[in-house]
Amino acid sequence: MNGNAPFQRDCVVDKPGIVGARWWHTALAHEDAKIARRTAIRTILLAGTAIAGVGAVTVAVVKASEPSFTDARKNSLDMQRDYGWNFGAVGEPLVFDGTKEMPFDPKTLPDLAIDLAPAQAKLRPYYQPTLFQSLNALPTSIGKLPTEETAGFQPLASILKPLATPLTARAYACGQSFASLFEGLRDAGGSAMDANAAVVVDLSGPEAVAFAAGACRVFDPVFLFDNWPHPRGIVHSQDALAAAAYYQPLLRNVPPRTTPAPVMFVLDRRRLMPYSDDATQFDNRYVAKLPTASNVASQLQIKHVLYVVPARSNADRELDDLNEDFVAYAAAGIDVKILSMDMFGVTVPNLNANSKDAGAKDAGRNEEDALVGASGYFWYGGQPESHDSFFLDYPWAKPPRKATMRISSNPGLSYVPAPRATLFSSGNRSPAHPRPANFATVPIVLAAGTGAILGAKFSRSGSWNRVAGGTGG
Amino acid sequence: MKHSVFAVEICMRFDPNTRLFATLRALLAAHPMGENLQQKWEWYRRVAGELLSASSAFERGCWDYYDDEAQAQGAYRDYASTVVTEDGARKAPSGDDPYRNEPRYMTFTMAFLLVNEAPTDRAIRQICNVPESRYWLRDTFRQFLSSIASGILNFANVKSDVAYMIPRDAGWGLTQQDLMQPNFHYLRPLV
Repeated sequence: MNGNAPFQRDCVVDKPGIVGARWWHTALAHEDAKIARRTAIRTILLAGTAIAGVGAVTVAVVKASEPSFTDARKNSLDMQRDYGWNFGAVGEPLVFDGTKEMPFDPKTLPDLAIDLAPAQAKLRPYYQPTLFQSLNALPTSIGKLPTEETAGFQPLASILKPLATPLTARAYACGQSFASLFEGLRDAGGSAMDANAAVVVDLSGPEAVAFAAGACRVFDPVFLFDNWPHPRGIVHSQDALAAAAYYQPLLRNVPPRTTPAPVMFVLDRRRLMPYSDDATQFDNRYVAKLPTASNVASQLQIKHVLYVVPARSNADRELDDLNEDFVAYAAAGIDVKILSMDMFGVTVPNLNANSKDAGAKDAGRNEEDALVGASGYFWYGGQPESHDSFFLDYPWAKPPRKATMRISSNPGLSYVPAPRATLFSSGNRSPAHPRPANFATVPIVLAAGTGAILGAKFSRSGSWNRVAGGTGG
Repeated sequence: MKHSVFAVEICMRFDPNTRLFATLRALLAAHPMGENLQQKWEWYRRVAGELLSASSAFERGCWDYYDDEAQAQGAYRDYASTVVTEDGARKAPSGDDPYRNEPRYMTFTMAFLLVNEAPTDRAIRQICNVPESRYWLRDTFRQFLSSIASGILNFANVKSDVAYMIPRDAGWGLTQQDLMQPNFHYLRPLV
C-alpha cells in the first residue's frame, strides 16, 4: 500500500462470485470536504445508496433540516438475535466460499447445536453453540422495525448448503492422522488420556470443523464459535456453519466411548479479522473463551495444551486474544506447545505384495494404522517412519511404537507463551482481556423522539441513508 | 465541484480457461490499495486492451455518460454500489461442467466519476456523442475501449473509479437465467 498515492481504495470485494474495488482520488474528494465536510464524509461512507429520483432528494433534504433520528452503537450479536441474522441487510446474498451439492436433509439442521455438543458433561459448560443456534433462530423484535427493513427475511437454515472444499478434505485427513497418534496409546494398552493433553484447534472456520470431525473418534470436540453470519460480516462464519452441516452426520454418530476422551477446543481463526468500515462491513468478530487456568488444571486435570495452527509460519505465537490465557496456563504449570497442520503430509506406502511395506503394514495393523489409512496416508512428519516420533517431540506419553525418523524442524516445539501487549491482551501476567473500542458492535439509528431502533445505519433501505445520498456532492 | 459519469459494462461468454479471464482476474487481484495517476492510467489501458482483444465475443453491454450533476451522482452510485451489495453476483456456484452445453457468462464493469468540464470530461463527451442508432453496436464499445486503451483518461480529472468482474472463480459464471433477472435488464444485446 502506498499511503501517499492520490488514489486510495475504499471498498473491495473478493469473493467467488465477484471481484473488484472502488477508489477515490483523495485530493479531489478533499476539495469537496472543504465545502461541506460532514456531508462529504457521510456520502463517502454511504455511497452505494441508490436514490429514487430528484423528487425524493428534495423531500429528503427538507427532512434533513429537522433531524428525526440519532446514532448509537449496539452489540452486533444482540442486534442479530433481536432483529434477524441479516440485520440491516435483508435480501443481500450470503456468499459461501464453495458448496457441496449432495443429498442433504435440511430437517436435521435444527439439531446441529445438539449434535455437535460435547459428549462429556464436564465439558458442556465450555461449549459455545452460538453459531449453530443461528440457523433457526426467530428474531424476537423484527416486527418492531419498519417493513422495508424486514421484507423478504428468511431463516438462515433455508439458504444453508453443506460445504466441502479441497482444504476441508485435507484438514479432515490431518485430523484423522492426528487422532491416530492418540489412538496408538490405546493400541499399546493405555488410553488416549495418558498424555493429559487438551488440544486447541485454531484454523480457518471450515478447516477447524473438518479437523475436529476427522479427530472425533478419539477426541471430544468443544466448539467455540461465538458469532452469527451476516451478509456483510467481516468473519465469514457461514463457511464454518456450512462445513458443520456437511460433517453433521459424522459428528452425531460418533460411537459411544467406554473411556473418557481428551478434549479438543475448536476455534475459527478468522474471528479477529481486521475491521475498518462501518458502511460496508458488519463487525461480527468475537474473542475465544477458553477455560481459565485453574479450571484447566484442577477440573479438567490437564497438564499439556497443544495449540494447532495452519502452518509453520504461524507456530511462533498464539492469536492475540489467547495470549493472556496461555500465559496464565504456563504460570499454572501447564505446558503449552504448538503444532502446525502442515507437519502432516502424505506418503502412500507401497502395498505391493512383494514390497517390504506390505508385510510391515499387515503385521502391525491396528486402530492407529486404520485411521492413518482412512486419512489417505497422512503422517506426522510426512513419512511412516516419522509418525510415531510425535510423542518424542511432545514427550507427554510413552511413544506406542518406535520411530525410526525424527523431524528436523518443528518450530512449535520451542514455543513458550510470553506476555504481549496487543488490542486483546494487556502484556501483563494478570489477565485483563482488553478489547478495542466498539469491538463487535454495529452502528444503528434511533428515532430521536422515542429512542426506538429504526435499523442499521448502513442499511440500503433505510430512509436515513436516502437523506445522506441525496445531499452528497 | 460538479461531476460527470462515464461507465461501460460488457457481458460475454465465460470460459475460465481463456487468456481474457485469467488476465482480467490477475489485473484485478494486483490492483493495489493506493496508486498514482500514471499507475491508474496504465492499469485501465491494459484492461481495455485485453477487452478489445475479445470484443468479437461481446454479447451484451451497457454504457452511460451523464454530465448532469444529479444523474451523474446517481448513476455512479448505482455502478459503484455493486462492490458493496454484490448485486448480480451469484451467491452459490453455477457449476462449470463443460459438457452440459449450458453457456456461462461474465461481466466486466468500469465506471468513472469525472470532474465536470475538465479536459477528460470533454474528451469523453466527444466520444460518447454517437447517434442513437449506434448505441448498441459492438463497434461503439470498441470505440470506447480503444479510447481508454490509447490513454484518453487523465486521472487527474477522475474523482473516483470502480472496476469489477463477475465472477471471480470458475464454476461461478452467470447463467442465462441469471441474465433474465430484472437486475440485468439494462444489459442490451449487441450487434
